[in-house]
Amino acid sequence: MVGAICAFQGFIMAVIAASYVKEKISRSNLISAFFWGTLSFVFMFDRMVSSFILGLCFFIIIVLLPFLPKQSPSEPFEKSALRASKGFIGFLPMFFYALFLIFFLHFIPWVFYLLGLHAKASEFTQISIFSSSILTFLLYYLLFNFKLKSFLVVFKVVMEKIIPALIIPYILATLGLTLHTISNELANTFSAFLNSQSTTSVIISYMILNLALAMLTGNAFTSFPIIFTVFSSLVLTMFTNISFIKFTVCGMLMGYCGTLLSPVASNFNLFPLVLNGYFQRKYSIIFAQLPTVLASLLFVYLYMLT
Amino acid sequence: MFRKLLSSTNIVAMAIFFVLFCYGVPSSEILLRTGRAFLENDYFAVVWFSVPVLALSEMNGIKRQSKIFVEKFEFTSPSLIIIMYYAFRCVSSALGLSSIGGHVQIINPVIIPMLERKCGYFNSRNYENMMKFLVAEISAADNIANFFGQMLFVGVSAVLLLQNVLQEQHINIEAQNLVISALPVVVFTLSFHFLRLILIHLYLTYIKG
Repeated sequence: MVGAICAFQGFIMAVIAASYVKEKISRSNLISAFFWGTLSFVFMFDRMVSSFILGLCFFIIIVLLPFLPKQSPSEPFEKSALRASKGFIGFLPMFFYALFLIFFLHFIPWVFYLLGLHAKASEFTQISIFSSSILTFLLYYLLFNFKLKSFLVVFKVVMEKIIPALIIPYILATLGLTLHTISNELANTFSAFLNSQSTTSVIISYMILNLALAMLTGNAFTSFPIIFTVFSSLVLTMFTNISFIKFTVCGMLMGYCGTLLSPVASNFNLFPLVLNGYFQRKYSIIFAQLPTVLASLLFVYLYMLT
Repeated sequence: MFRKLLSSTNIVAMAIFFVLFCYGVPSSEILLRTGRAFLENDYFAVVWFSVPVLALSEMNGIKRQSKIFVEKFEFTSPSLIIIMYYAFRCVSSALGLSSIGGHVQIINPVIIPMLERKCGYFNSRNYENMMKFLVAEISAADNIANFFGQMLFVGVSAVLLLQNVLQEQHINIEAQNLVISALPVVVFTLSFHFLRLILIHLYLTYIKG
């Protein structure tokens, strides 16, 4: 099912690529067409081609990404919004979207989970946003007589303007997973160095490395397993005075702190500004988070020591 | 052109490929491993489907309706809206309902227009600066409440990831024990940020007065 959803997105991306090919030939149009074409190929055929070709496509995407023209995301909808006068009924689809999300993302997976169907629960979580969105589109169709063709136009415009910002965390998560393939080798290197250190320096190194890798990859979920693998055997064998459960949980929380301070975690720290058109102060969200993150870091350090 | 190539993403990619190369992984194997990781990660892209829903809601004037709605509550101020949203987001994340709220679903179409309307008492120059400040604050409040709040729910992906990583090392720890261990840090962080928002509220009330 996830494969079918990705293939559908790939199809929309192919339409975007074709629209650039149809326009007049210029350097930026060619780059855009090549970028969307490669992305479309990856989404449509990722389960059919070899991992080597996928890796090559990934490399092309990250090289082309900085060359895409920058666009404002909400611009095309403002004029339509001025014409629209739906009253409070305009809130209804979004309200139902929230309800659909609760139902598909939380309720159904939990029922599967309770029935012991863990794989089904996980699969359903992945398709929940798609199902909720489709039902919301249906609601728009019923309430406002919204046409399928208009839906495709909206989808294309939004994909074109927002995906270049949203794809960065996706790329970084992939890079983090790639780095995870050598985490045992990294563990051996670090163990040799950390063996002779004190408990305090091990805790500080663990915190700093978690924070730094999460800042670098912009994702705690990809950075935490790498740093945890590096330190876990050391804590279990050499530094038994450190509570292992606190050590585990604090690693993830440090990853969160790193994500909150990361300029590359664009979906959390840059995308909201791009979306709302307040992009002049690029790092204002990170600065707003800084005092809380610093206080949390200090608390985590003291908590791990006790 | 060279400057564009040195974007933050490309620097991270180069750094990671360099580390892999230093550990003796050949370049063809690096591409193979990256491809596999890309395939493992493709469920992430399904999230993008929520964005066209936002576009449709914008086309149907949800921002204007949010402004009209907030006008009915005269006692509210921009900082109070942020505090109320933060409290709501903490509770919904702690209950595992992290999809309720967020930059795309709630902040952009509903909360920002409310803040824009309630910022009306500032003159035009201060209004711009104040809105930049408030957008950063509401986004930060959402991130912190979402990240730390979800650590209080046993079924959430972060706790499940912790369990999976522990199982890979052949260690079994119950999910509820992980949540209990995270509790002091989570409560401290969420309370600290709440206190910070209260201070912002007091400051804004003072300059308004």
